[in-house]
Amino acid sequence: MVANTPFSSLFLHYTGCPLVAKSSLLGMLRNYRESKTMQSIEEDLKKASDKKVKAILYVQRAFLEVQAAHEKEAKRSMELALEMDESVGNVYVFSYLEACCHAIACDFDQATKLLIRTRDLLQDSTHAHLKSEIETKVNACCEQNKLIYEKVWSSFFSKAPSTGSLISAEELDFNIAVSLYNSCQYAECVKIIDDIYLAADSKAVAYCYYMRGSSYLFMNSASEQSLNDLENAYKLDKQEETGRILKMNQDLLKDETKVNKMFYKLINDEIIYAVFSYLPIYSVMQVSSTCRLWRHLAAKSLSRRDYLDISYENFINNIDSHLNAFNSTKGKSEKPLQPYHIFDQVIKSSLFDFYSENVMDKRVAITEYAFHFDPNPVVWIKDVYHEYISYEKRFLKNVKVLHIPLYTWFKDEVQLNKFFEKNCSNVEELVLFSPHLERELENDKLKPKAVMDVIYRIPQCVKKVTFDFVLLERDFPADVCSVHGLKFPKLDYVNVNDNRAIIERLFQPHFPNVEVNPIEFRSNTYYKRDYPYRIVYYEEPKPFIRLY
Amino acid sequence: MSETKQVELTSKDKVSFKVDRDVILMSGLVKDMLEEGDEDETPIIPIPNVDSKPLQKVIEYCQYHHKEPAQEIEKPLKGKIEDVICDWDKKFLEIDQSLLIELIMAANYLNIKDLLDLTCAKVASMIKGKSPEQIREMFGIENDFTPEEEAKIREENKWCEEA
Repeated sequence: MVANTPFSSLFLHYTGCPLVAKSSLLGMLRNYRESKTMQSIEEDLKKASDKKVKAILYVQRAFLEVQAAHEKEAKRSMELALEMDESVGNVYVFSYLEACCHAIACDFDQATKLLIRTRDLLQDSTHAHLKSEIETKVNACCEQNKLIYEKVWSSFFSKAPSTGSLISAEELDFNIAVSLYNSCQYAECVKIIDDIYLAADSKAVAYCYYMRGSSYLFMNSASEQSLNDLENAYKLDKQEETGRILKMNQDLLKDETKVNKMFYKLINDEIIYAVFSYLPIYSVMQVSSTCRLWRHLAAKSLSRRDYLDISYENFINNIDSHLNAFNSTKGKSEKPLQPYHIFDQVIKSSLFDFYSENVMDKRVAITEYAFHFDPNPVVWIKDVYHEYISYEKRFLKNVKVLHIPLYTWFKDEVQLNKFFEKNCSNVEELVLFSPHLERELENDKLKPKAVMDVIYRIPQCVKKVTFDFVLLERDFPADVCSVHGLKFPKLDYVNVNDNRAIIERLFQPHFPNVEVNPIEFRSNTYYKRDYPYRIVYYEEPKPFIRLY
Repeated sequence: MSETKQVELTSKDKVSFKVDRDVILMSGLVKDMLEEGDEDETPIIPIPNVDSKPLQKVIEYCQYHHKEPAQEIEKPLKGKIEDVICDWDKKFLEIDQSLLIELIMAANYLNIKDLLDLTCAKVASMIKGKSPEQIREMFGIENDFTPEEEAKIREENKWCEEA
């Protein structure tokens, strides 16, 4: 049976499962930092010298942090626990807390894997003493909560009667089923529900019926099978959501189809990713505010883009209107809001945490305003902006492929040099393009020295460079290379657009064997209309130039 | 003059459509099935996951784009989808939302990339510029955030809304 131990409710609290209504006080520990338990843990940590004792205390602290939905702090505490004593990682409590952290971040794929590991560790008798000590510590926190919320907690068992642990195997199976359901793995969810033994707890039974009925519905459309389960669920526990899905099932069976109303659950993740790929970032942020599932998918969808286009246009919905609206309310003596102030606020969004922290080998295009590279921290407007986060820190960590406008490249020499000094190790490919070529040429900005200078300053870490801009023959006299006496980096490949003759001439004094061929574009439909930039994503270039 | 080889597709609701083999080869699924199958005069291919209405639209799409390859749609969309697709596609997409969703599922099942791109871009275009409330309403999404979470996200997203 599902015993409803406080520990098992912890995970369920972050799944939107109605079962947790009575246990939702777990999530109310917002002021846990001031709680006696936390203060006592911190004091014990200061006093403790034994690494094992410290590890256990960090796990206890992580438990409190998970209860307060502070998953980052919890992860940090767990890291510290592992540093102190690696074996805590093999105790089921630790693995369960890790699963909870992923549930808080709506990453139910990972949460499921960790719950399954928790189930295995629960049966594992190694580290019995350590396990018992951790259980005691976590149980002490639960007991403390019981004193605060006496009535609610009186309905809980302290420990699972079947195992004497903080959670029973049945409870874990139930948690796994909920996690699978939340990650839309409906077939797997049905499989585990079929095997769960549920006796007395009618709410848990109702929720299992609900999950199985809904899973059948989402997998195969409405059927008698899904209808039976949903009706049973509603009989046992008249939840509003169950009633809604039941009605949807009944309507579908009556052929009163309104497929769009089920779109967000019916369509698989790949299609959702495909839809999101057509949205500018500011719209992705909007869809991420609709529900947990879409927030999770929206965050992950960013990592699937060919490249992340860093521009105001992509991140902010009609920036000019926002600036006008905001600045019109300000007095003349106050500094007006600038685009980068807004941008700085937007990129702080927690939606980008996944991309920023987890995505390796990023492909990024900085299409405008690159003079905001690495700005000094400033406070521009009192009470509105307290710090300045450069997008360098947010998006350029682990960048592998970087697209930069040529204009920016030589305009922001100092900032770019700084960037490459700090972040160079991962950048392997550089794409230089010119967003508004003719104007630059007319303005005398794109001159031979500048182009040569660009080539000269390509960092050594870069192995592949693509030049995508048009140069005029008249600006490149034959002696241009010898005049400047430049050194070239050791590149593996150089790809060029339609500057073949010029680039060839620039390179040949240093690489006499170079053979220059134009790149083939995947598409001729550059961004047109009002979009001034000419970013093109290349297929793996063919043919390329091999430098000897 | 030699006759064009045909294929018979049978929808979920048992409606049959005869279509030129070359046309329906745009579908990766059908292509694989035809490669596996015998050289029948008019092979019958059941499409058990797709109703007749969306299947008819799929065939319509293939018949046109078999001769006129679809243009790649920009990512992300800078404006409305109507600005970047041809007139024929514009007219093709003048359908209700239910059929649009069924078309997405059919394109996905039949593995027709261009049609999937077009229909997904259409859905994206419907979402673009909408508030979370409007998107929820459009797709029947239930808001499962806690009030605190929602307030935090709303604060983070204030520049994403229309000014």
